[in-house]
Amino acid sequence: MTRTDTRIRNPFHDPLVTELIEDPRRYTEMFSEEILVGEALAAFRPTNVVVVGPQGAGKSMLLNLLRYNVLSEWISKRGKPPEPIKKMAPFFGISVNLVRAGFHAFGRRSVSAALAQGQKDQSVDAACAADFINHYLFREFIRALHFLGDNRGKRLKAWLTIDRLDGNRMAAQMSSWDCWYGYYSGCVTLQDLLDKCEQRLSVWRSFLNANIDTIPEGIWQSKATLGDPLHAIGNLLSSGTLASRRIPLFVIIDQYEVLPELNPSFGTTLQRIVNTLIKARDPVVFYKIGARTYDWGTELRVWGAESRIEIQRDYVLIDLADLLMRNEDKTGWLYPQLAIDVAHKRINVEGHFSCSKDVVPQILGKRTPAQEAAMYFPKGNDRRKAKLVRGIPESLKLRIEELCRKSPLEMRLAGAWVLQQLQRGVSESKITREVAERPWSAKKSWRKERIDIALLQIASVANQRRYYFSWETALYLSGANISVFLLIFAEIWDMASKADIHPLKNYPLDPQLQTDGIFVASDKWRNRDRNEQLGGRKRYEALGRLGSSIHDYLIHDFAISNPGHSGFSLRESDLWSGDEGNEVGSFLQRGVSWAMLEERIHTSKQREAATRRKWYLHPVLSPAFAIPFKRAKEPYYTSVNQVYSWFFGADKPKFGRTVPGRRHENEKLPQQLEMALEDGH
Amino acid sequence: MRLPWGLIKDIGPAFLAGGEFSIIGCLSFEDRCRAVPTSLSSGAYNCGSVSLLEIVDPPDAFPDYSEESRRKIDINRKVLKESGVPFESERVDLLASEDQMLDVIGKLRARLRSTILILDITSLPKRYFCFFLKRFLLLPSVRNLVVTYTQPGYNGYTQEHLAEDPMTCDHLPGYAAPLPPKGDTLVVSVGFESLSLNSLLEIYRGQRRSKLLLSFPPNGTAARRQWNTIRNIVSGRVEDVLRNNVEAVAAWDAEEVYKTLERWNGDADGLTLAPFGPKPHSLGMALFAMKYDFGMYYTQPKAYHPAYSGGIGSTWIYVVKWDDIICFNRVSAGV
Repeated sequence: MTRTDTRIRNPFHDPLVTELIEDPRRYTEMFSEEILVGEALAAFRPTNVVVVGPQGAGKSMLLNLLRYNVLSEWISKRGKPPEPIKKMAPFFGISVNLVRAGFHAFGRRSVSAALAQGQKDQSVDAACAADFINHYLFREFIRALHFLGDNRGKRLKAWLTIDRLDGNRMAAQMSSWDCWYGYYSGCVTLQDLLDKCEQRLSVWRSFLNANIDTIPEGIWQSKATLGDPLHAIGNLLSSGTLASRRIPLFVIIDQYEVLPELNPSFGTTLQRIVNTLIKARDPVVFYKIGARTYDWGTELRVWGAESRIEIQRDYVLIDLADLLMRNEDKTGWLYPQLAIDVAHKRINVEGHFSCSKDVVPQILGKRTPAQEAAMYFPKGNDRRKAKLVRGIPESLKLRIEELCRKSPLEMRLAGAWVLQQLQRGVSESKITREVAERPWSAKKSWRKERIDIALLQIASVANQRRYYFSWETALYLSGANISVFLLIFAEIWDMASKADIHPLKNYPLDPQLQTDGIFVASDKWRNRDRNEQLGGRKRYEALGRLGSSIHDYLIHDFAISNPGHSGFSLRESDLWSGDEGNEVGSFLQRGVSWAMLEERIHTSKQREAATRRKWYLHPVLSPAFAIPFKRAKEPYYTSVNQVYSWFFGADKPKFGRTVPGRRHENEKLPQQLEMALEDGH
Repeated sequence: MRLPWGLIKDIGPAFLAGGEFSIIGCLSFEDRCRAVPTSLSSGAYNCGSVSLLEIVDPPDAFPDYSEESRRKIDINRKVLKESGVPFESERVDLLASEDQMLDVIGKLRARLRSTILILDITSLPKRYFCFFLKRFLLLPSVRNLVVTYTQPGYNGYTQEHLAEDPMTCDHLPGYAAPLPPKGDTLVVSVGFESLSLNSLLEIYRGQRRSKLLLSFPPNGTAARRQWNTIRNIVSGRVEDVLRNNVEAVAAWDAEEVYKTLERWNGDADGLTLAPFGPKPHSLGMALFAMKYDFGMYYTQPKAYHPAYSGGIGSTWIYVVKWDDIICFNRVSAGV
């Protein structure tokens, strides 16, 4: 195979998976059932569900399976639904993308203002939007019935236990529903209903597009009450007249979160209309919404009242980030299986290659820290290597070199341990005695927490950028985000094919090649946010400054005193109080939603009643800033004011504590420490 | 379709020298925003009124160029006044809703006294001029509508990002696609910025084919910047761009854009349009979208660089409606 062939067939080329979502056939081939576990399965039960997760976490991928045409493709191809869903009661899923449908434009052109010479009445505009969504979803239902009625829907129909579909009888029944106020009178076929429905939707669109300035009387007088037609559809499906069992109606709602952005004056009212549908807790209709982590919850009120929809009572929340990041101690961690399965499907289906699942991790191979550390000194280079233990007395330095047998990783960790002892005021003679026991190796957790930073420092001393390679590294860097994972794999694959290396014939791929690909992926993720995502330009600047500061702090902390200081911690109570708290809070939330920051709750080590949260730059950004991608305990404890100055101030952020906590007050760091890395990075 | 167009110095007198006209344009930070009001307020022309919109970026735009933009706008205001151009200006929000834009149009209409309306799109954001174009084309009271566009001067465009902080993809006001969206082909008019074009591709491409409309570049820099945008669109794999799916059209040739779209539409079920390129290309797209009822989608940037362009180049005019006949409804003589 030529290089061009390999590149063209990069199975990870389109990491954004949109086309897969649009095409039921490809979706069926590529969807990973690995995600259908635990609380993710709630999405397929008859209950209102909100799926949240950062950008690229796989929300749309999960919810897409609910759509009738997608599930039908699956059943037609495989004879049955995905295994976990097979055990559940059949459902009928129709969907609306609120932006594509044009729902978001209601209120931007106000019907009430057009009627009353400029006097706006929000309730009138909301009623018009409600009518639009009612009829839009009715149209989706009729199209679904058409689908069921022809060959394409044959297998789905069987799964739903629908024996016979009498379109005309159904059309007659539906056209006479009271909820339409006579609008569909005279429609005798499904096609009649569809045509009439599309005429109505077209009128609304023409008005919103400013093609017309009034709404015809026939439409104005027959506005359907929010949710009534959907309830009627749900009843039809549950009545037993259509199928031999009750079929719940699922309504998948996409792009809910962008309503306030695209319609600043009326967007939250539109969200309240959707909330009202959820609040109704209709026994036959169930809503499924996907939203970025913090785009859900900003407006929970219903339309026309102050009451709010409540979690558990009105809906179930599925946090995909939670689901995929859980148990990173590797016991029962779902994400690696998901990543393997997704990559395997990509390679086999999209790339038309053939490989087994167990080959996927082998493409990137394994790595040990010692192996990586040795790569920074391929020719020995003892002079430069000696700098790994600088800042400590000559006698100790010689002793460490002797004990570590010139292993760069051991030397760096030993150097860090000795520096810590010196900072704590331990005498040189005592340290000399203790080093014989190799405490930097013996203390497992001490060592584990510092290895990642040690490797960064070794790379820096060797005047090189860090190597990033191995399957495990790719998993960590992706931060349990499947889109990031695909991007990383795509770039590594591209690097391999540029070098005329077939990733399936020459694995594990060369670490240098993997590193090059990962750096490109890191850069692309950062620039994609800058150029393409809401507020990304500001995040690019603010997180860029923060990332550089974290790097500076960690690289210069040769004692590795605070290995957790690649992230920072704030009291929850300090957020959202005062202007600065609000600005910091919303900046952090948006960063998490767009997968540029990672947020975790944690227990404070300080004696305080308050709960805390900690934030890190998303791991995929670690290569760009040369900061650790593995998280150690105890982040940098800071204040909202300081974080505000990092993000919104003009000065370069100062990150981390420069003076170790337990050092005696009058003690000074060895002077060498201040200069530790001046020629190292 | 018959769209008389050309350099203002060549065909301007034929259409504008006879009667009184009104100008609607933009008072912006660009030098070229002054070109049409200045040149048509003097000499043989009879300019009845000049209304200029001063577009205000949203307060959360980043970077915040507001101070520098205001300074440059004030300079242009001063220069126009010193040149004796009798204009009125009004501040309007960049992200104005359809209602707010209709209000602006209402106010502007109240000032119109002439039989010819000139819509100077030089510095007007796309979301404004496409919406204005549509409304004025539909209004029976506007019997003659002429669009003008002035190119930048010798300095061209800034080497920095022209526009930043893009919003989520949305239809341009007045150009939502019908239901279901017609067509399987997405046409992107390529500019210097990809903005959030990928988000548009995510939402609207689906199984669609993509076609690219490039502007015929006057120099190598423009070509490089356009190809950088294309590289972004296709994730760096320019080899994926097939020659048949790319058309280069002169940056000022709105008519050729319209004809190209007609040709592409003949090979497809319908088109979805994404006007990210030069304004005359957007003009051609907007006329086409109106004629065939297609959607136009854009990722509106919140911040425009105050040094967007430098100097004043040639001015082009496009007679989009004359004697109450819209250009796309006008057929060639003898047909």
